[in-house]
Amino acid sequence: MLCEECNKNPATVVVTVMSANGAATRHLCKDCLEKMETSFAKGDMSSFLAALSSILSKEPKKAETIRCDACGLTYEEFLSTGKLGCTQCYKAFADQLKPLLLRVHGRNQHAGRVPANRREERAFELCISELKTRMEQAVSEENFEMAASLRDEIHTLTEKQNAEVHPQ
Amino acid sequence: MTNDSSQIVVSSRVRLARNYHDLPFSNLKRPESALLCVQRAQKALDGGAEKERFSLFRLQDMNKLDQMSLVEQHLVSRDLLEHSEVGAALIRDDRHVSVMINEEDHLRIQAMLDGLSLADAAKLAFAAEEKLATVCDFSFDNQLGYLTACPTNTGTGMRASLMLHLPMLTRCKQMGNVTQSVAKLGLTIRGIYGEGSEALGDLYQVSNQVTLGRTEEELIEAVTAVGRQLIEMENVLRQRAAGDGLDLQDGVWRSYGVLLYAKQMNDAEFMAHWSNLRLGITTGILNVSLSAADDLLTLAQDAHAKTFKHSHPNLESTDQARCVIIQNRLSAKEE
Repeated sequence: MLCEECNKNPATVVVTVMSANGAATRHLCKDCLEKMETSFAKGDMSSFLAALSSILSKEPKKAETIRCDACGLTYEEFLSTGKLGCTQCYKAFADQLKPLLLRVHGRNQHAGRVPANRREERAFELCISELKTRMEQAVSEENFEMAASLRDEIHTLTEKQNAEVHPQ
Repeated sequence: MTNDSSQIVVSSRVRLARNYHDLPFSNLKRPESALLCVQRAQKALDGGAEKERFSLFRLQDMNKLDQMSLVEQHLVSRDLLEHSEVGAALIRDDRHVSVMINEEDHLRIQAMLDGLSLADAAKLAFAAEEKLATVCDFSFDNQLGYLTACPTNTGTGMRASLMLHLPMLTRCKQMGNVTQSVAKLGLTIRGIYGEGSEALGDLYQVSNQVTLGRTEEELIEAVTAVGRQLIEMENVLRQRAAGDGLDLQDGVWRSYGVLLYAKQMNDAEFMAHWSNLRLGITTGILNVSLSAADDLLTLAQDAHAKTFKHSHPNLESTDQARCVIIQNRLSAKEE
């Protein structure tokens, strides 16, 4: 990654700048970091503030700019009401919702009922996931013959499933 | 004194939150989507055998009293009334199943049975849910399960709750400890009208807080297990109180006397005496039917008392109407 200040040298340090708007992180090269530190040490606040404001303006605004394209709800609006706008919000805010769901529920994989028309698909997923676990177990036990056979089984089942979903 | 769970568990309720996959959620307040939700739900539950017939109640066609009366019967939530322009409910004629439409989620499917019967209530709710899904698919994700407006309901979208009458645990100041230990199990205890409501009449609602990552059966088992434990604790305290002087009997008979002879009573006072009435019946002190006491829990609430007063112009106040309702029900001969 290149230094975000000069865009020339490779970034070697990560700087966290605190402001009223929260913490902003920047990736800088050694030279630009020194420049920033020197200007701050000299009491040259104007250049330091300019550097700071450039940092803050380059930092993506987290809550305000993430928007669900389907319904128009922003992540900030969700935070203020606690309510999502539509099914697609779960995809648009996936990165933010993942830790939140984990914090609320302690888990993040659904284990309950599945709609009637999704049951086959779900059963297939569970079957493949179990075969993969067994395959990894076989590899860790250096039972490569078994692992290869499980890999083939996964391959065959996936091919068969794809043929059913997208028949030629 | 018996160990029958219905002595302490007033009712079991299972509620499922569901949203149609192709419409914005209710909080975006799109009237055309809200209308579609009502039409779809009505179409899905139309017809059916006599016992399974549903009637549609649109809040905009109802006055405030009738709306509140549905809340007092626990057929709709107070939150649904916040959406009175688009809110509706499909209520099964036997009143064991109701579907709230355009509340926080498009659909809130609810089944309610007497006593400790969460598994049976769940069957009723799932039967209605499957019918509702025939008209349009629900919002569902293989990893996150059913997608709901609030992420606290995501996954099963299910809330299984028991309404428990716990007067002795309350009087022995044990509810604080109970609330804390229940929270550690991913469950929660609230007052009878749900979130933020007071525990009027020593009535509490124990329900699952967590909805993602566990099966519906696991959640029901967890709530039932805690329910059974609370029943046991309450029973121990009741037995202890019964053998400990006249305080329990005195409290019960005083409340019974007030309920039989008072001329006006507000709802808070009623709930306090109601709790003693139910405690007296379930501990064998009073020879009154339990169903009379449980009926009063709905019939003597504000909206019901106001409606009764409207149809009896000779009554001066809601509080007077409440007393007449109570005394009529307590003196009625059981069938």
